Amino acid sequence: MTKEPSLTSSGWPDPGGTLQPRERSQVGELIIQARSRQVTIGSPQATYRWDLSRLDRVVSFHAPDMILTVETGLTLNAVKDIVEAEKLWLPLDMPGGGERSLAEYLSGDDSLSWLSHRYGTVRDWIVGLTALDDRGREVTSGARVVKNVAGYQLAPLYIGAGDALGPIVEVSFRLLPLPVPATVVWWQADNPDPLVAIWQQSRRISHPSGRGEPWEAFRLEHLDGQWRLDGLTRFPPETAAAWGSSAVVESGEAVAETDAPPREGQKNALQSDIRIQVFPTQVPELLASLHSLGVELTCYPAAGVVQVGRLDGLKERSDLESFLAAVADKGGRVQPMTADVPVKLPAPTSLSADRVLMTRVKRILDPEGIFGLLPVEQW
Amino acid sequence: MPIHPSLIRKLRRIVGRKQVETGPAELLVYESDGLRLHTARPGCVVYPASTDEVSQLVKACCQAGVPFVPRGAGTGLSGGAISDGGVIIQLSRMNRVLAIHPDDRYAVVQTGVTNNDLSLQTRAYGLEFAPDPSSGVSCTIGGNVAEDAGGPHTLKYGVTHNHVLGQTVVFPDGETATLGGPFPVSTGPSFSSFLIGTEGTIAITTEIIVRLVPVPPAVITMLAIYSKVADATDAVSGILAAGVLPAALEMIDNLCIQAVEAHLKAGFPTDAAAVLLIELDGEETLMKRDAETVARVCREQGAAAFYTAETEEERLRLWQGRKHAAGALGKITHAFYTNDGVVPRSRLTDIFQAIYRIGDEYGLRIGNICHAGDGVIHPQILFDSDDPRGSERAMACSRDILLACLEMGGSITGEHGVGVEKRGYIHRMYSAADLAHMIRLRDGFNPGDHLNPGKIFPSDNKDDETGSVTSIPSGARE
Repeated sequence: MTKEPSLTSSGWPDPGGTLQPRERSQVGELIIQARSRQVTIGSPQATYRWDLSRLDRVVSFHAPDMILTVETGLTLNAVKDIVEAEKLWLPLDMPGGGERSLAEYLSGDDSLSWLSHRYGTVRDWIVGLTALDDRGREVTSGARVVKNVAGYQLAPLYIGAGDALGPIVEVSFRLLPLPVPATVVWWQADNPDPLVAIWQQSRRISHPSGRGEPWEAFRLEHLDGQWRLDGLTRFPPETAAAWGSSAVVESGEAVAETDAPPREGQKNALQSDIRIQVFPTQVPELLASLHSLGVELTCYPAAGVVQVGRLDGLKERSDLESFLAAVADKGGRVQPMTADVPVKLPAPTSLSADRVLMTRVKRILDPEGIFGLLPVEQW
Repeated sequence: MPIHPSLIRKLRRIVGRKQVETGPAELLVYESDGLRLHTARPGCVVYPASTDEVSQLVKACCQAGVPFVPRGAGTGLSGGAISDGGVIIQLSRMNRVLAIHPDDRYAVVQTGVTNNDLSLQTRAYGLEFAPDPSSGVSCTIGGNVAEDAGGPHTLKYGVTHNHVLGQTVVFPDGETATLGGPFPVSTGPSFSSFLIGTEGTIAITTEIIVRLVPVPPAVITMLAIYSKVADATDAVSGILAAGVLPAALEMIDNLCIQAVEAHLKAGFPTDAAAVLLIELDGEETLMKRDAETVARVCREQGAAAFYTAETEEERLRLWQGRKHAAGALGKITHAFYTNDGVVPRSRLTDIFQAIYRIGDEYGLRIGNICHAGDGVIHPQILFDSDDPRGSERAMACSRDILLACLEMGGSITGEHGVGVEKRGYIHRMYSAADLAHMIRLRDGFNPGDHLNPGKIFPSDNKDDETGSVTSIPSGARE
């Protein structure tokens, strides 16, 4: 039942340990036991955390229906392998290369990637969800079909709630046909300006006479002193390369890569500490400022998202702190992505309405707090 | 029981004398929504013009212990916007597009803006709000949010919850909140997203921030004609299995074809058992490749003929035929009942066999409109309105179709919602624990069930109109 080496006489791990149920029925039993022992399981602040990696069954998968139902101990990569073998696609990339379990990704709050602006985040792909309630009973919402509006959909409440409403043990994903192989075109420069100009040019809508938006996603990175823009398209390499060389690049060159793009986490070397969110039109100014501060980052410009990392080596942290405070003052969102961010982040002036309501949801669904504190309560 | 005059006076003080209707003739319009078989007379109708007025109305109703129901255009098809003796909060005066931000690709609208009006304004910027329910000319964005509306193009673009970034809402105690925000993506739990599809049972949406997407630069619309329904449904799976994701993949069967051609002359052959309407959009080069694949698959699956719309006029005529197929049935029948169910896509052939069999058993004709790519079916059950038991038989027929959907692993509603129409079936889809969990949420935010009472979940204390259950399942309330 547990992989913790240090057990108490009752068979439970010491506080701070992890509970690893072998099968679904044990999840409910552990919740019932936790109630009687008056300990908490779930959120990062709870007495115990879940490790659901042994719940790794494919519950149902019939490729023509384009719906996959799995237990959440499966890794995202395992899910992708399953669906891609049937020429289907789940358009999600996650930090960590997809090696973590779905349960971990669903519990956390870091599922943005360069595909997110076009395809949404994980909650956009979940059509059904089963979690455990505070009495240890399985509760389900949604269905194993593409469209369904019967009853309340729990996924928007549970995803990102840090297991504080109960552990998610099963999800159903809707899937897409596997698209034609992608082409990635990239540009490099020693500053962000020419790369931002390329992205802005791509975004200009010239419909109906123009060709619309041939690019599916963009990612802009500043790593090891080099700025790089990656553009993902479904056009063949020769076409995409032609756009690349005709684009406005002041320093750097366009290269067409013919292979399918690597999954986000496999490629991305940056462990992000802070996420900044602004409007897409504010991204150029934001990047220029961050360039002057010398921070390393990954940016999804169409989503208005910049993720900053490798802050340990940053010399002038106070400049970054002042800058982040100014971003927050202007309505931007600044949030930590790790527990111990090495710079001081601006304190929110008040809890957003969403967070206030999530605490109300928490009181309704888990009045005794058996699943620990909601992560949002700490912000 | 009529609403007490003191409450009427209070409501008039909030919204103005002329914005409260109590006369029987005026209330008649509000006795049903698009589902005419379920009727209830409200006590009065009020027309607020702002979030603040909605909040004041809600507080007044709560203090008086009178139930209240938000309503948009009344195009819903599940009886979700009717009230038996309560106050209808009619939101149609809140119909302004407050802001369009083309560079950041979002718009802020009041709840009563119609899909059509929003599209007209955003298309000037080459942008659109993707959900496109067939009632888009008159249905409201607030209604889209309440029902998590879809439409033919959701196969590729998703449903309402994929395109709403935030909203302003009024809770049953009159508190207001602005949820979500205009940034293009968000992670983590989202109370705003949760509210979408709750059918106005937790809060009243008054303003919405919607995502805008570029209007596709090019569109190809194709028509595949089949002499067997099963060949058409097999082609649906074949197209998707070939790796093509159409913007829309719709099917209508012979009875609807007959009605459309008698009424609109969309160009559907009247001897076809079914037609598939397939639309691709996007970049022209990529689409041409996909169009060739679609044509090949359709022919391999037995299409008797296959056409591509050559002009915009032809394309629009085909879509008119599809979008007005239900309305066209009015030309061949006095009354029909629109069903809404879902099956896994691979069971389309099975569900159509079941639909025709069930229709035969009841001696009723059924025409079919179907978002085939999504597995969503809309059987149109024709009945004789002069027959005193006609509507009852149609509803029983509809029930059997929904049960067949559930047996095949589907759902009782793909896009019309549960409302009052299907609340008697929801326990067949969810366990008592599932329903208890949902009802905990409802009761937590809507104690006393004053806001839109009796919707989605079976009532405790009165017989359900559908006759399939008489009370909430044991264990579904704590």
